Amino acid sequence: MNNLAKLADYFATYPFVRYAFVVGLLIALCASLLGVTLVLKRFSFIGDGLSHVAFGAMAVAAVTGLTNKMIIVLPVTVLSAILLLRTGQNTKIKGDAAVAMISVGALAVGYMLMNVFPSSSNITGDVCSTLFGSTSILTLRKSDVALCVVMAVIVLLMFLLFYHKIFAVTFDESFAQASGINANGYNLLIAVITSMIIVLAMNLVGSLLISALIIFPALSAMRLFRSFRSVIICSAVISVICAGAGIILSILFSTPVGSTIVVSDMAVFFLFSLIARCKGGRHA
Amino acid sequence: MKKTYFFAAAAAFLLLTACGNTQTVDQLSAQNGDSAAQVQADAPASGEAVSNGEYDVDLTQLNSNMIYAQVYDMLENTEKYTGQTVRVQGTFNYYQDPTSKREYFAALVSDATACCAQGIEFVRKDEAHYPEDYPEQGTPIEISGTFYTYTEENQVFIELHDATMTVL
Repeated sequence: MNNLAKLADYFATYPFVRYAFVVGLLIALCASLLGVTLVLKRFSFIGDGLSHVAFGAMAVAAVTGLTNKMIIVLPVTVLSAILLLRTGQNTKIKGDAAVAMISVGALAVGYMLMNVFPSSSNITGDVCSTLFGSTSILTLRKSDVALCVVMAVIVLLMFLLFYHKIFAVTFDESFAQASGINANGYNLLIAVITSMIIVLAMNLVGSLLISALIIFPALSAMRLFRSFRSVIICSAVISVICAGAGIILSILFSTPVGSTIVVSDMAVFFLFSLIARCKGGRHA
Repeated sequence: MKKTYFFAAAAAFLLLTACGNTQTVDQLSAQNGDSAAQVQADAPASGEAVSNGEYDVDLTQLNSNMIYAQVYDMLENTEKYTGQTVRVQGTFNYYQDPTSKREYFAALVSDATACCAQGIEFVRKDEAHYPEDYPEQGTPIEISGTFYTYTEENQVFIELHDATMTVL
């Protein structure tokens, strides 16, 4: 059976393959939209920091025996995102240091909790699956898919409705504020959307690889395009295609899902860099 | 707690909680209040898994990611697969409960990242004794049998009954 026929057979036969595709593409789309804003605001690493916070929150949820871990994970991640994005400029601990501090702190606390109060005997498996996503994306249930679709729709709506304001806040926050835009409010919105995407993306690529999902499509698009709109559209297309390709390759050739998606993103980045160099375009 | 240590690091129910969605055990436990081990023998339902004509669910044609996800689906939706014939390849694992002396045999399948594994217990249809009639632990084996579930200490486990084992 050739690979195409095999893939078609998997789609027709296994509902979890269809779920993985729907969720994977939606997460990739949302992450890419936000990625451009985060990269331009010099917050590329915030995805990493927040995913570690989500890891810590997930450990707390596991220790407390919560069936629905989102009750803890989502609010904690949102709160951390607000703290990081809003207080980055005007605090004693500046943005990058604050991200690093919260990131490693949450990772350490999460890992310690999982060891001291193990929720299962396979701690290594728990940690590995949370950090690298493992095959979580292939073990989704209908309710998980529904939750992801709802959250993705909320993220997309917020982004489309507030596109111009996000654009203004992204490029010149001070000017946006001076022209009457509630920059703090939109920073808060960006923080909330970021944390929602992080929590969603943990299922897809795991907490260690989320940053790649956010920054690679944006950076690739920036190799070839200059305007905010074209970069966002290109970034979304790249991200969705790479996520789809990554999921298909991992299903067909049994490679780790998250790593395969990120490697696809990296390949596109190098390809776009090469094209940009050949065209004599942007290199930065 | 005897089952908590079943197959040390990678046995069936441990692995239910190890990867993917960890709500499985909670849900399965909630559905079953009986602490005594009991075998469920519900009528088979129509499954969506691959059938090759000889077996209702043949996992031997799938790669490790797909096997892992399919076994997870079988653990999640036990009623869909109960009574169906299943064939699977994995590595042999054995555990004997020190208190009850009950023996457990399983085939373990790992995912691509090798950090997660899931196990399917089996009970052979022929008279067999451990260790003389079984391979060493970790040996690749193929198991075929009929899918059933049983409940023990408020946990639901899956098991292949009337199983035949082939050392690969």
